[in-house]
Amino acid sequence: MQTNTQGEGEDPRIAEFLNQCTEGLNVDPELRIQTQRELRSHLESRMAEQADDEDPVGAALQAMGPVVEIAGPLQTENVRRMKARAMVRLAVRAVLIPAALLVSLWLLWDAASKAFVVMAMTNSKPLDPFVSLPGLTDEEKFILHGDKDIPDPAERTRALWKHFPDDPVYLAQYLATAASTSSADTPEFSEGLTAAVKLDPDNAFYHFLAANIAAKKAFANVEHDENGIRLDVIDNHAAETFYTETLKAANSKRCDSYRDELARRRLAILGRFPSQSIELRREQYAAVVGTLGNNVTLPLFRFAMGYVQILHDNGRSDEATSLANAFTTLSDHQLADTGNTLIDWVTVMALADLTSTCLPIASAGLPVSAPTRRKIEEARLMSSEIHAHLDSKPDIPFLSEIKTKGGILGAGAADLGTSLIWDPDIRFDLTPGRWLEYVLLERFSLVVFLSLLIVISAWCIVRFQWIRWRRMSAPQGHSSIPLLLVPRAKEIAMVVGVGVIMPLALYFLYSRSTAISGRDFNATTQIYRFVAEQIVLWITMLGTVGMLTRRFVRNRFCQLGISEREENSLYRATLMRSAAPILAAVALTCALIVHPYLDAQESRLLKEDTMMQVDPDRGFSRFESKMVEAIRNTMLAAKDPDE
Amino acid sequence: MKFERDLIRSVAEPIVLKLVAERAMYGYEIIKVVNERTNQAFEWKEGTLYPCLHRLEGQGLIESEWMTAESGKDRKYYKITRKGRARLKEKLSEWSAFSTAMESLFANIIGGQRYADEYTG
Repeated sequence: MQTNTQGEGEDPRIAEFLNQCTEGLNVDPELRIQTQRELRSHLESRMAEQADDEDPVGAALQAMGPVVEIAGPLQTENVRRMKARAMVRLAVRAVLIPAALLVSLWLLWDAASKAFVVMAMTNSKPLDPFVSLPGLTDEEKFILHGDKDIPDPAERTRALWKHFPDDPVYLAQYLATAASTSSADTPEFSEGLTAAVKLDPDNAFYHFLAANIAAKKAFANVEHDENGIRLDVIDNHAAETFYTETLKAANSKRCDSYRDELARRRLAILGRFPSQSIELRREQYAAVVGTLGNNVTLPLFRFAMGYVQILHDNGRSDEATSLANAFTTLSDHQLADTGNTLIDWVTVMALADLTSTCLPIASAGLPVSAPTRRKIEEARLMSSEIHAHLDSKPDIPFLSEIKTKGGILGAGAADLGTSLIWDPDIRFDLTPGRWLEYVLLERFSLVVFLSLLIVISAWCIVRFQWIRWRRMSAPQGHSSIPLLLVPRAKEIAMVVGVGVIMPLALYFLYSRSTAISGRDFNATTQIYRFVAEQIVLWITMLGTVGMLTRRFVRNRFCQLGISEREENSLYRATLMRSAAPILAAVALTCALIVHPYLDAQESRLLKEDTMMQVDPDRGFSRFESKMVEAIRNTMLAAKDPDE
Repeated sequence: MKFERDLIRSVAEPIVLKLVAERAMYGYEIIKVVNERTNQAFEWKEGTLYPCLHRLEGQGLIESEWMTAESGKDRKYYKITRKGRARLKEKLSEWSAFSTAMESLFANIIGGQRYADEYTG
């Protein structure tokens, strides 16, 4: 390989001499060019001294001595150096760039899976991401997710129940899933309901499900107003089924959707994984799971209220009174035996509303036992007091606050609690959770930045190859190839220190210090500000890294003394070729600094986040416990205002 | 007087270190200074100097930088590093001890020869 550094108008003997002297260095083009330049400078000095000679070039070359006496020792002295530099270049090309790519992909997967989990926690498919956890047995995966080959969720949960036919938990899961999809009007669903009644005869849940399915067929034009619920009966048979199933439900001793048990089983599996990310998923799941039971039971109660009214309006007072009494009995039972999960209290709340609707019917002169009448009256009082209390405080500031500042979980939970009384102090529990959101978003920002670096690196490589190809295919041809300049320790320290570490340190100082950023963290309302901040950070880092890389390549390029006519395309190709590994090093450094830092932050915030702390006495999480406590106190206060 | 090439090569390292320790120098300048100071006795060639410079630079004993000389031409100047100074100190004391030993040795040999010459007289 020739290294073309011949100056314009230069005696060809000089280039030939230099090429011969440095023949042994041809595996290291940069070293060869540098050495040629130095020898040329030396030669020029000799020529200047022998300017009076007839042939100053020839005299200078002769004075330099035999080529072999320079070339041999030069090669010998540089063998180890060239090997070491070749190893570094190989490592840069074969290790650094692939490593940066792999790290970026891994971080992308990590951030995406976490985000996916958070999103999954707020909708109906919370468990899919857990299945990829290492260390889960096939049976555990099956319990968490069901048969992955079955795409339909209802069919999947049905397969799980069929695998454990005597387990009411999986049966309830199947029936609830099927009821919430279009799979309810099938023979399999009916089979499941029949099996459920046999397996778990005292549980009102299955009758509620059946009533819910019937209600969808039976009623239309449902309207809510201050006088209650109005609806049209469009299918009398379905309405009768609804009535029968509702009555059976009301006469059952208990109502259990097993969602809490299902959640506990899943958490028992997931709890084995000690990492904070799993902890986050577990706790988030636990916090959200309490809200899910309402999807089935509350609409049923509302329909039941409307249906009692319809029965009464259509002269079926006996049935209306019977149903009303059954509901008030259930209400009384629930009030006396309330558990501590949120679903129970919301159920009680609905029951109180139901009994207040039933009261005019139940007290229409038909025989009602004195204890039942007393309970009905208490329930009515409770319901009216609660509503009066809520009506007097139509705007609860904390609710809007929790929606805007509470983050993902807060916003979801606030919807649940729109008619509840809150302990204002709970707002302080939300701060770590909001930070947690930012940490999650920052993970994404990191991944986007790393992806950007990878894309720019790839573009640099493509561009370098393109310029190289054009140089090679030019009519006169260019024998010198673009160089891969590996920065020295000081140069890479400058690029990484000034281009990466310093901007990151300033960003974290700014973003974490409220005094400087003036930030009240809220991903919902401040997402644009967040994005703007991240873009400024990326541009700062990319700009600084780009500028320092350009400076490094230009300095090194100048040291090589390559002639001006070569400079344009050769410089650009060398810059592209040398920038790719530098960008990869920047990506790795960035990942190695930011990822552990965000991990540590996430871990600390989870520990501090009281919203995420499990309260063993009341419900799944402290957040839920606060809600339960608030409802309990409010209801008790409304029931017995003097106490 | 011409010296053996191997002898010249063996002393090249301390000589280069000593010179670039005085001030930053470029290759041609080093050759000139060496030849001047030894009255052309060493008559260094490029084949002696540049491999030595590359070796020393590879070992981190000297470092180089391209600078523009007063003549306006770009030259690659070499200067000694901290590690190089330490090595130079070692080399100088080694050379001093070697030189003393050699002088002593040759003095004894020469003195002994005289004694023998007188005794056998």
